[in-house]
Amino acid sequence: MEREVYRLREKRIGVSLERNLRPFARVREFTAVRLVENGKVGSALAEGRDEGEALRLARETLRFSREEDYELPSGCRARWNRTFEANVEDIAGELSALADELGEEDISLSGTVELITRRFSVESTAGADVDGAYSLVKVWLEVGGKVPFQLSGGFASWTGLRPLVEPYLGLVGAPGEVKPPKGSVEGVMAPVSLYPLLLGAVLWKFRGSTAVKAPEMVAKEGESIASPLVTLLDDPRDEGSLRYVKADDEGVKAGRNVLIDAGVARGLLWDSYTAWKAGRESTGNGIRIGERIFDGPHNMTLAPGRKGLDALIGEVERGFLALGVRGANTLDPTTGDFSVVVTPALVIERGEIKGFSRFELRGNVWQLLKNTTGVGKELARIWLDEGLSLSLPFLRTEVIV
Amino acid sequence: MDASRVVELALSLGAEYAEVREERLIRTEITGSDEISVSARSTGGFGVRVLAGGSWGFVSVNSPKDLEWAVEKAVKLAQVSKGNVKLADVKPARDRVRSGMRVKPPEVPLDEKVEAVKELLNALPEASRKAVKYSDFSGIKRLITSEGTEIEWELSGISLEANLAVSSSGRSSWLFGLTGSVERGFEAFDDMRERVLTEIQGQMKCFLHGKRPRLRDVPVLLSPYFAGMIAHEALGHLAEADELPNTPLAEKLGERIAPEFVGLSDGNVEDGHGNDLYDDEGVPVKKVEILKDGVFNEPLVDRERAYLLGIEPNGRARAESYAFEPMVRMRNTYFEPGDWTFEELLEEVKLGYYLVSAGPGQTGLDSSFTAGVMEGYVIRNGEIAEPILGATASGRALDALSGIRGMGKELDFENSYCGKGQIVRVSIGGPHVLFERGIRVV
Repeated sequence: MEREVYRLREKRIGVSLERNLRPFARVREFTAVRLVENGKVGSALAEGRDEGEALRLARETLRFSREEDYELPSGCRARWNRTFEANVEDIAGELSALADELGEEDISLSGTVELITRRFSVESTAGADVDGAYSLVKVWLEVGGKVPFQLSGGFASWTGLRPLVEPYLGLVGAPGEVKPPKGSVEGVMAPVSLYPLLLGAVLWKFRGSTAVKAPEMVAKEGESIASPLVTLLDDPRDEGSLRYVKADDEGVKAGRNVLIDAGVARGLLWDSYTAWKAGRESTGNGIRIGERIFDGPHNMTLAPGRKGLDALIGEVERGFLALGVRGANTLDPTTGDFSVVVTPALVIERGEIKGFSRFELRGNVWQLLKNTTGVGKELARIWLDEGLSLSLPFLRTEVIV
Repeated sequence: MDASRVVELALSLGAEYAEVREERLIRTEITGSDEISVSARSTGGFGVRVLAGGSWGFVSVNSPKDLEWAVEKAVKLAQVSKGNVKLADVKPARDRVRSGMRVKPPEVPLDEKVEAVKELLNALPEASRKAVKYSDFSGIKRLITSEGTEIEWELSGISLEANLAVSSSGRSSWLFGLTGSVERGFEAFDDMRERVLTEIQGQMKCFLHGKRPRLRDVPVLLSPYFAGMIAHEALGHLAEADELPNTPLAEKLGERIAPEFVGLSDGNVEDGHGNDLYDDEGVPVKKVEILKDGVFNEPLVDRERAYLLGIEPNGRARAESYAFEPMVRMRNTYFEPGDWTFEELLEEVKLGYYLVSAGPGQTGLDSSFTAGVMEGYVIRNGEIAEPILGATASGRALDALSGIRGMGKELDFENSYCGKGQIVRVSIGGPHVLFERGIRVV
């Protein structure tokens, strides 16, 4: 019998601000076991440190599996530690000071800032011997005032909140509500409005499981799929990545995996099982969500361009800056079609922000990437609680409103 | 350390109030698509919340060995800042809440559950990809507070969902059906399966035969589920006391905000997903008449907000699990029924839409909403006519309330979930509601 044991200890310590400061700490530990016996796979998870319970449950599920000749992947040996500390008093102090400062300008602030430290190990009879740890700061803020918006961000070290918040605060001092732009215009998508659209569509087109289940819909290597300005990759070893790993959750070596290179489709994301189904090798993209393994990105990154935000805005004749989108869950990941409400949108005319607005925008994710006219040079880091991270710049594209 | 000693330790360290929630659950998940996949999960731990110096501190851990550390840490965290939190008084409760399920998940062999998933999978219409997910849980939850509350719940739940990727004539779409129960067990599985099938079949009809909506500014008749979505998403969230200060309902308590015949409530309903006897602070769950005769009558509160607003706690502090602090949440939110039959509401519409099933969408705290229409039809001369496809319904619920023409007399609910940082079970439903204006379908 083959056996893989995955252990995770995740500690979150942080502060929520909602009327009062609300400090918290959450420690979650679990052991997940995957068994392969006579070609059948069983998997289970037990919270706490009870490996025996996880094993017992995994054995119960074995008999329902289809008999296949899948084997656990050949694992690697890897060790790393990118952990750091942040004092909860410092986090609380900074959040509180920011709220006071904004309050003087009649802008409310609520949200959560937390330091997350994840330590995990993978051991398997197929040779995985992985022990890694990383910390990150996750920030989620709701900024009120005349132009309310939400900010998601993160850091690979504790640098305080200002670097995340300041670029936006300057923007929302817009004069007042104005009419939305109409017709063919340029839209600058802030990372927080870009990722809900991009993630679902990219996952559908670049996962190995799509190649297995719907091969006609997966990205084809060499296919021109986006503007030459667009390079998209998964890069878990980027020092700034919030999820910083040298091996995936199956113990397979993880590294840079280019999905779109200067607009042209290249690689796909494979975990060991999906790769086995397709007769390929894992790319080190086995991502564990609970007791299951998925083929997905560790740190999906849209490679930064050369333009600062000022230039991205300053070059727009007629358009908008999207600080948020509502309804992104209406995205059809298979086609990339979406219909959202852009709110708040800062309306741009001749390179200057004229005011804020809100309007419906219908479009297609792949068309947005094809019509890209500029990519920002700064990467915003975003943590998703499934355990994935994103690194995205501002992106400017042509749309029809 | 024993859970009951937690509160004593917290008080000895300087806390004014302490509570510990313990949870132990076994979960099973079965997914069926090209193949059947079964997995199991054992979850459990402790959530310790203390109030010290007017500030909260919260710590969750998995192991009883870490409980002492959790208590000490929670008290230290509460001391990070000085606060002014006070709690509305409640009478301590001592109770054991039993599950109402007749056939609980652990009593059903795994093989039988797998067969049930296979049957639903086979009963679904043909699609390029289809998947069924069944999940259940069972176990216990305990709450002990420093005020003498000791409640133990027997927890059980079943959830069933199906999704299909369909394509036809160059178009593609995802169809989705979801139901579940925390009160009816495996004895109700056939009913749950039929609900999911009916939902999927309606969506499939619209996908295959629907056309893009062309009518503008016409009356819209909403099904119980669609009306419930607006009641919950665009109105209910505004009445949650933690959200209230940032919404148009702030400072509107006691003011008329809707026509006199409009009522909006949140409470336990038949087989409601959000049903309970007590909330996670041990407060008995009351029916809350959010809008009564068109007047903003009562917000949803936890003990902290009840004290602030000077009202009685109404049992709306809910936590996703032991790992989270309780926060103000809805349970089952619905428009109060009127006196119209469905046929009478339909006859009232010469040209308009009947929206049956809402897809993904989003709402804002200004009561604005946008939702995809998964199943909808044109109404012509009081009769349901051709299906529509690719439609989105949007509006601002507070404005739309004045456009309500009539409410159905029968209630129906669908069991669903609500995410607000934490995911909790809720029911979405109510009566059919006819809006003469205020909802835009494009």
